[in-house]
This record gives sequence, C-alpha cells and structure tokens, in this order.
Amino acid sequence: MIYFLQVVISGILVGGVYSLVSLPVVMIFKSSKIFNFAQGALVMIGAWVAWFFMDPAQGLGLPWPVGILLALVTAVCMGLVIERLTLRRLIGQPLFATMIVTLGLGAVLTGIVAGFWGQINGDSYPPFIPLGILESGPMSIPIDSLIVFCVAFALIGLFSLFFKYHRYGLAMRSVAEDHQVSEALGIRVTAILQITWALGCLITFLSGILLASISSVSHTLDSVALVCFVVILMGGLESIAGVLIAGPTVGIIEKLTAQYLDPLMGGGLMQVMPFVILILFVFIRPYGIFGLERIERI
Amino acid sequence: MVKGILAAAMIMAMLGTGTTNALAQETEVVIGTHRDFTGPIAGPALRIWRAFDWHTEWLQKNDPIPGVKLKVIWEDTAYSAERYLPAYKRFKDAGAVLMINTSSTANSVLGELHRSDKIPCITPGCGYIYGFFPKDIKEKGPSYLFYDRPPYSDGFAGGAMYFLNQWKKAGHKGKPKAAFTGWDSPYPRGPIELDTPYLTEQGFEMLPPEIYAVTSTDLRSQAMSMKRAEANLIMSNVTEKFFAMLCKDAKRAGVKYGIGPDKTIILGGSEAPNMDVIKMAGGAAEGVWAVDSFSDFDRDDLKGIKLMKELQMEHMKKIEPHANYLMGMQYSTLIWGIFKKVIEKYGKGNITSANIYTVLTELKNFDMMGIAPNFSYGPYERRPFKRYLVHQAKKGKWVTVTPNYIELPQLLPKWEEAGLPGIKVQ
Repeated sequence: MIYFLQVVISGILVGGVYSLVSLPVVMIFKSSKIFNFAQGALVMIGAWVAWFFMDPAQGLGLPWPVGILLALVTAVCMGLVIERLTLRRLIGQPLFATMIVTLGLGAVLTGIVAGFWGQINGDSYPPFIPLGILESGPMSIPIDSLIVFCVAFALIGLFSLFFKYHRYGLAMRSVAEDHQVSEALGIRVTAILQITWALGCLITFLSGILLASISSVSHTLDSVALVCFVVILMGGLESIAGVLIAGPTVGIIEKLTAQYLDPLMGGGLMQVMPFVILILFVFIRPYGIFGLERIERI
Repeated sequence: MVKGILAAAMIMAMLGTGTTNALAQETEVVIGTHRDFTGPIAGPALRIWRAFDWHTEWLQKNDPIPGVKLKVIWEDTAYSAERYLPAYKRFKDAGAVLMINTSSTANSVLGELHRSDKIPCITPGCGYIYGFFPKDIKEKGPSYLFYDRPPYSDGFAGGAMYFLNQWKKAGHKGKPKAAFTGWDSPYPRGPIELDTPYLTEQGFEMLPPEIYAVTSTDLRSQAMSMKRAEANLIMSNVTEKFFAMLCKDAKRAGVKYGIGPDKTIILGGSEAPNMDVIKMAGGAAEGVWAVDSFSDFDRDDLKGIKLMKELQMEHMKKIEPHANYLMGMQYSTLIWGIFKKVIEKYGKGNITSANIYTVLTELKNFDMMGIAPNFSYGPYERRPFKRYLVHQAKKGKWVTVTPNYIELPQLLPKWEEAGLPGIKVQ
C-alpha cells in the first residue's frame, strides 16, 4: 500500500509539470482558436536559452536568478515576434492552415536549437534546486520534484484567478468568444493576442526551465509535448481547470502502468497507456473533462 | 619554323602523356559514411566525425599513401532506419568499397545487405547481435560487419563479473540481484538476451529488465521499481542523457551507491564515461561505474591521445576529453592501415571491397596508438579485442578503477547457423 501511494505521488508530481506545459496551449487556444503544435519546441528552446545565460563554461555564466529572468524576458520578446510575424495573419483562417504553420514553427525552433547548441549533448543547470529527498518512514519524496510541482500549481492557480478577475484575463476570454464583439466593446484584439502569446511563451519557457532542472537540458525535451496533448484533450481544449486535473491524472496513469503493467508486457507501455485512455475517454466525453460543448445552430 | 612547331608539339605531347600517366596512377578510393548528425546521437556523431575528418586530413598530409586519393562521402542519416537504406544505395552507386556507420539500428537495416553485396562495414553498433551472429539466413557465411568493440553483452558481462568479484571479496553472501534498463531499441536491449542466462549461471539473480520509450522525460518509475526489487547492480547501455537521468532518478528514489546487500552499483556502457554525464547528473553520478575500451585522456604517454589533443588544439583551440573523439580516430587509423595492407598484398589500384574484407579478416594486433587495445579479426571473428576497462565517477571525474584491462567472456548465442566455431564461454 505504501509503495502504491509512493507511485501515485510520483505521478502527481510529474503531472504538475505536464499541466504547466499544457497551460499556454489552452490559453492560446482560448483566446485565438489556434492550437499551438510548436509547444514542445518552445519548451526545449526555453530550457536552452536559460542554460545559455547561466552556464559558466559555454554560456554567459550569469547568476541563476539573473539568467532565468533574462530567459523570461527573451520568452516575452519571442512571443511577441511569433504573434506579429506569423500568427496574426492566421486569425480567421481555416484550422488546417494554423496547424501547418505551428508545425512549421516547431520545426524552425528545433532547428534553431540544433544550430546553436547541436554540438552539445546535454547539460544541467547550476544546482538552484536541491537534489535531496524528504523521507517520512518508508515514503520518500524528491525535493526538486516537489518544488517544481508547487511552482507549477501556484502558476496555474494564479492564471486561473487572472482569467477570472483581472481585466486583461477577462479581455482574453472575450476575444476568445468573438473578435468583433470584443472590438465593439473597446478591446483591442491584436493587443490582447500579443499579450496572450507573450504570456504563453513566458509560461512555456518557465516550464522548460523547471522540466530541465529535474531532468537535464537536452535535445529531446520537446517530447514532453506528446504527453501534454493528451492532457489538453483530456482536460478540455479551453479549460484551465481541466489541465489542472488532467495533468496529474496522466502522470498517475503513466506511473501505475510503468510499475504494474510494464513488467508483465516487457516494457514500453508507460508512454502508450495515456493515449489508450484518451481514446476511450473521448468516446464518453469528446470535449474533455471540463471542455465546452459547442452547439451550432444551422 | 615548322621544325620549331613540331618540336613544341612533341614536347607538349610528352608532357601530356606524362601527366596522364601520373593521373592514371592515382587511385580514388571511395568510402561511404553514415553520419547521424541529427537525431538522438547528434552530439556523439559530431565529435566522432570531426575527429575522423581531422585525423584523415592529418594522415593524408603526414603519412600519405602514394597513389591513393581518399574520397569520403557522407549523409546525415539521423539515426533513422528510413534513412540508412537510401544512403547505403547511394554510397554503393558511388562506388564505395567500404562503409562506416555508428549505429546498431543501421546494422539491423543494412547488415544482411553488406553481406549480400560483400561490402565490408566498420561499426560500433553491436547492440544488434545478429550482425555478429547472423540467424535464419539462406546464404550462410560470416558477417561483413567489423566491430570496433566487443558486443555490449560481452562488455556488460565483464563489468558484472568484476562487480561479482568485488562482492565476494567484500565477504557478502548470497546472490546479488542485477537488472538491465534502457530504451526500447537494439542498442540498449543488446546485452539482455545473452547476458541474462550467462549471469544467472555465474551467480546473479536476474531481475526483469526495465524498458522504456526513448521519449521518456524521467526514469523515476524504473528507478523505484529496481530499488523496490533490491537490485544490487543496475546495468544500462544508453547514451549520456539517459544515463544521467537514471543516476538522478536513482538518487531521488533513495538508492545508495556501493557494493553490499542494501546498496547498488549503476553500470553504464561505452557512452557513459564522459564529462557530459557528470555535468548532467551532478552529484548523482558520484560512484557510478562504466565499461569501455578507451584510454583516459590524461594518458599523454600514449601516441594516439597525444595526437588527438594536438588535433583538438589545432581545430578547436581547446581540449575536450571525450572518448567519442578517440572513436573517430579509431576509424581513420584502421582504414588507413587497411589500405596500406591491401596495397602491400595486392598492389596499387586493387583497393576493392573483396581485398579489404580479406585483409580485415587477416588482421592481427593492429596498433591503435594506445587509444584502445590492438585490433585482431578472424575469418569469423568480428570482435577486435576481448578486454575492457572499468571506470568510476569520482570527485567529478572519470577514473579507471581496474589497473589493467579486464578480460571479457565471449558469449555466443545458442544458434550457430553461420557456421561459427564453437567457443566455450569463459
């Protein structure tokens, strides 16, 4: 029983990161109806940019608070550039077009990482998060994973409140519903979209930094996006609360599968099982746990 | 005037004939190299091929083979099965007499093609054991894949036996428990099939392997599972990133390193003993082991190490103590030596696949300038040597803990369809 609880806790902790990586995708979809397939690449580039600012041997060697701050500033600038140069033109365009553009954007960003840092196998950050474990009897919880989970959930909680109460959050929700009505109400749609992308990239870079701090800075960090798409679809494309629930759920599914099913099947099921559950889930609730069912009147 | 023109024409004709003769005497030898510059082994590939190209250039300047012009053609095969085959075909069409790849996956795709087309290939990709021991084949005969190291199964068996000796020396009773872990492809899975029965026979209790997808972002589940099973030896034939991840997640799971009933040694393969692992894993790497064949970079007494450092300073203006550079240098050293031996035996202009293959199978104690043990192959033997070093991460550096090379067992599968002579397992 203790071991089972340990596995569940491990799943919850890793699920926190999944939720954080998924949050910007939901935010951007909520405000612009664009599904960002470049999310994995943005996570990866965020991790590498922060590494560049902090690494003493092959980067600028700045203290970690400064390095992370500069990485987040870079994130905001990148978000603004991406919105202005590529995605603004996609407003109102067919869904397929936006998918292709974000896929292409992901490929470009992956290429940029390979171009600048392809010769570096991988690295880690200066240890700003301790590697110890908290032990309580037979249970042990890694400190770094706990810290990352708390930060992730704090951010998600903050953004939930932001969308509910802050005027920019409300403006984003209005823009997501209808651009024309929003304009008519005096909301500058283009400005709101810029803020959405800037915030989205900021959260994405932060999630990349947190993910890299518990694994490592590497060229395969973008693979986390595969799992996050499951989280988003399970939670609901437009639901932040859904992302909050689905992230740890997917994490628990993965860990339980790894512990109890993989030994029976020879391995490899851990990554597959969330998708299997998603397919079954979609039959029951195609819009996700908290997704909105759209009814079109003909 | 007419005589003058005729004389000039004769002189020009003679010069032209001489030039043509000189050109005709230079043989262009084409080798094809599969370079995985993108994909999961991009980092190692860049180092390997840089070293290969630098050393090849150095050899052509400082130790030229008269009349031989080397032409190296390459493609970025991205460690991808779909890319190896078209690249192979293009190399073959370009007249490549020899190929080099750095991937077990490449061997699983191309191994039988090399055999049927009779084009030898030099490779480290011994995760694909059928390259060593062809199975279920219509045309029997030895492999055309020549490895730059023993199979991973031999290497890990040797490392495990070293662990077992240390276990017994420390006075521990009972069978130590051992497990393999790695992602789901030939390279990490390579040792499992042959090592599991061998190590069981030798006195280990083998636990089920922990296999995961190459897209995994953490190995917590695997580490927890092996800790719960009280594994004393965890073996993992993976690249630096995953080995570092394993070390960190083992620490997070509360694993204590050491040799004893409630302790664990993590043993990596040839990609583990380098500074990238220590950089990525930090303190979690302190005390882990790894097995490979390459000498330490601080061995300036070894000709090969000294030369590689000079090449690094020339091209990079810094020393990067990574065994991947030595790997690339192995290939250039080997092919240059082979070409010389082919010319010695068959004469100039006869550097063909068939002659290269024959010379490779006759190779004995080929000097690798100290970067690795000397290479010897045989009619059926594709291991270049049967010894390894055991390294340990200590105080932020990799040090060799075995005073000399350890001898490796030579594990054979049950099938012998290729007509391999039976060798008793040591």
